Amino acid sequence: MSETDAHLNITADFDNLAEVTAFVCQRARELTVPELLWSKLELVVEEIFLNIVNHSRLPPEAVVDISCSLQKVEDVPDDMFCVSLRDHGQPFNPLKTEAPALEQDVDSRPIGGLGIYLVTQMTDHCSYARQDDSNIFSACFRMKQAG
Amino acid sequence: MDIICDKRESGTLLQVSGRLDALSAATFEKDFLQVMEGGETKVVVDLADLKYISSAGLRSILASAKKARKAGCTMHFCGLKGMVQEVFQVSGLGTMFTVSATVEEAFGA
Repeated sequence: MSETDAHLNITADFDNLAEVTAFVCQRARELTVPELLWSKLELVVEEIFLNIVNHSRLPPEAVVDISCSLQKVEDVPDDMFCVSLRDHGQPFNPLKTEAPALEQDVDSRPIGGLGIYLVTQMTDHCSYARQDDSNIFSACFRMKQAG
Repeated sequence: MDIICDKRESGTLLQVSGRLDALSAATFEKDFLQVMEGGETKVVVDLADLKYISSAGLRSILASAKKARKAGCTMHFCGLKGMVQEVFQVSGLGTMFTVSATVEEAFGA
């Protein structure tokens, strides 16, 4: 565990979304994550947390462990700010969901299916692991953004 | 999120500010529907003061757009910038809708 690690344990409840994003944004500020990344970070956290709330079939008292840290990721020279969400729900790898068809017109386009796609597009690196009966989704952002 | 509704001769302007996320998406859909039910045929949605949008926000826009098409109402967007513009581009909504730089251009489109 890195010394920059910070954790929030919170129930998988829609009403906790604001607290979850506030925690992650506070850590981002403390670890001097560039301001231009904050809204992307919020988006990713909202999508992943609500994905757990809506699809993990967790009992109401079940807790999601959210952690933020600076990490080194393979093949990336700079530090990355990484957010991990761990839940004990049914095995579910969001990265295996089908990519949405982006070219369809208003009539034929489905209303949903964009959340995980946005996560993959807004992060510099994301990963899923199933460990100890838990789903662990990590989303990482380069601290030094190009341009 | 706040929505200011401005009924004009050539259509209705909805100025959306703040955050269009899982907490506010239903309000956007409800307000848009209300404008449509008034028989409007053109709605311009100005997002210049929108700071944040998530997939829940996009869903509410798509759902509104589908209802609008069925009712014969056109939906235009303007003022996209920052992360809102990026999310529109990445999700394909930027090419699905008529997007203009300003309110005036959107009403002229």
